[in-house]
Amino acid sequence: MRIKVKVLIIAGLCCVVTVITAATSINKPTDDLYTNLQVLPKDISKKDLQKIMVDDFEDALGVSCSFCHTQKNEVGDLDFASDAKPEKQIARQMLRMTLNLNRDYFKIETPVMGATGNVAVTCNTCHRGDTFPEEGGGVKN
Amino acid sequence: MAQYRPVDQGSTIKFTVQNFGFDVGGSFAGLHGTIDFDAQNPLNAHFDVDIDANTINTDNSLRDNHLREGAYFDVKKYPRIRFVSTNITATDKKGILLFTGKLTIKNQTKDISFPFQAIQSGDDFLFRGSFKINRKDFGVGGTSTISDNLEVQLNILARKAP
Repeated sequence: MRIKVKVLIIAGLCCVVTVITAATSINKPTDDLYTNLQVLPKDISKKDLQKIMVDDFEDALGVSCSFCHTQKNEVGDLDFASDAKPEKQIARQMLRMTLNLNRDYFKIETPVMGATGNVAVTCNTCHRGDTFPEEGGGVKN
Repeated sequence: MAQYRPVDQGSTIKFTVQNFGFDVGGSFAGLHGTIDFDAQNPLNAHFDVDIDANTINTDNSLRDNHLREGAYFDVKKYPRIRFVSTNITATDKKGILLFTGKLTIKNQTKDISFPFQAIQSGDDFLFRGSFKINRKDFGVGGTSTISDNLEVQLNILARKAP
């Protein structure tokens, strides 16, 4: 009987550890190494990075990954680390501007974008789904 | 004076403009027109060359489509960009000539002047030069993150007309 209880307790603890590990790993830095992050935190989680790419860039600008990321082969795979396209440099500069706006004008001491973000001004504040918003009512994608 | 025709193959018409402080490059094609040129008498040369505004290529199809629209090149209404020389003069540098003429974009014509070289290659000539323009002089785009001034680099291969 005692052995059965011990086994059950150990099994239960293993389950708890497994569930906690799984839950916390969702928002932990990915094992994948991001080799060229210059504005976003180098230890950003996969979830945060994807949210910024999808919600802040793709949805707010109406673009897809290849707008900023260059192709690395003829099949169309993208080289996410490459800075070959000027659009990526421009995106970084826009990101710096957005973070600075939040810090300097909205007094958010440490502005963070992404799933756990706290920013008042986002890409969408100006872009509104428009890749080129400068003329107002430009291309809607 | 021999007559030549500009051809796309072997030619490049490139531009560089800053967007948000970063250099962005692009190109045009669709060369057409006539060039009267005699290497022995280059000051009598005459250029009348146009390119297809719809061929604009900045390696970004979304942006290219945007640049084809009314606020920028308005290619449906103004499909050609045209260079016409009014005067070719010598410079104090050997082998460098000065092109003076008219550049027309979006039906707006401005005087333009820039040095160029004529490099003979067999029966053909490669005309090479570059100049700076203000896009707003031609009504190309309004206030934006794109700088007003841009540089155009021409390498135009001209084949002897049959």
